[in-house]
Amino acid sequence: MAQSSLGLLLRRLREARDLSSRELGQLAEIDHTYIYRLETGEKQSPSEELLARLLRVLKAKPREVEMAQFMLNNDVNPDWVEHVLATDMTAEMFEMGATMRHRGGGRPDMEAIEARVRRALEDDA
Amino acid sequence: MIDELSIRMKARQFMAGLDLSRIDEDLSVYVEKVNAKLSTEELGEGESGYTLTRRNGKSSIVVNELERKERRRFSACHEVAHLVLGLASNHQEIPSWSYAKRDNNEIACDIFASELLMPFDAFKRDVDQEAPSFELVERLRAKYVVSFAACASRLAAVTDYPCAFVFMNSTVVRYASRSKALRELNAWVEMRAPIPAGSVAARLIREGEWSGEDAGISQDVWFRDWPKGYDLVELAKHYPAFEETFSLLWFEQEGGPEEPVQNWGGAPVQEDDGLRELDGVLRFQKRSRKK
Repeated sequence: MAQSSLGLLLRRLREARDLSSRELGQLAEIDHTYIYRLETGEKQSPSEELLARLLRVLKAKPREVEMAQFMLNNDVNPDWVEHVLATDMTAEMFEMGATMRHRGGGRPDMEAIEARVRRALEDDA
Repeated sequence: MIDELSIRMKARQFMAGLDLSRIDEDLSVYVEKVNAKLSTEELGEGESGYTLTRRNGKSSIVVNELERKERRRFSACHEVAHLVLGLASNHQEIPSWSYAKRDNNEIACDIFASELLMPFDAFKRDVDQEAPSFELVERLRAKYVVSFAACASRLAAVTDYPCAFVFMNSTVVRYASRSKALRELNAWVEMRAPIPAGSVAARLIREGEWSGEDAGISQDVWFRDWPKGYDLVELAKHYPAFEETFSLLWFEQEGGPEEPVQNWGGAPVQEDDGLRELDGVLRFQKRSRKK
């Protein structure tokens, strides 16, 4: 099954709150099978209202809310989401890395992308 | 399918009103117009450049300082194209030379970049001074600071001669750029097909030679479903180390068909769709005279 970047974020937030899909479903008043499908990528593009309800129950921080909203309209590499969640990067840094454009066959790893994003912002300071 | 004309027109609109007098040395006129800053970094092998865009719209374009100047310039303009056209990158790891597999967004940005580096009006004026040749390509690539392949491809596209530039890799035709005059004659070069056996390119590969030319290559050798008739001039270069071969083909003035060749009764939907469906009907309705 295709990995979904938004689904990955929701699963990480749910696991951080130590909730099962069923418990989250009950708290957010959403069918738990729908939540499972969102997390696995089988379902994508939930409504903004439903996403907001999930994020509220999951007590998502402002950065994670912005990340989730960004992913509603943009394809993001799930590896990048995983990487950003493990760092103190801001939502803007997340968006910069997610929309980074490349030329050529070589691709940098997630640490290299983070370093580039930080360097670009330092250049502005 | 890529709408090459539309991309070139967007590039010309982007360039309108800009002072292009120093673009052979300095691309800041383009970079500043997209609210970006250009810099170089030592990047990994195979990575030519990248762009990061902030929420305020300002971008950083970075190109690989380990690559040669022509490639760095092309990369910078390719990144400008991403910003102007609003196209995302393809995240699969595909070599930039692989025309057979490259993403349409990347090809579109290459087309845009070639327009920025070799502005149509100035480049066409230079091309129109003489007949196509590799010497002319060499002179123009030095003037516009671009690669041989980029320059030859552009030359073939803008010349008034019925002309094509063909890029081949590993004995397979990967990419062809054709002039308007050649397109109007219904001349199609088969993509992803083996290099034609009777071509100079095939001979160079077979005999391990680096360059060659022949002014008597029958037109049916290169153009899909064409009958025998006129002869083409073909200049070819072969680089065994990279398994790359280039050919420049053209009809001398008044040395080719005067009207579109009626090959099989219709233009293909896409140039790279492979072989047409066999229908059992031979469509060589009109044969051009042999020179």
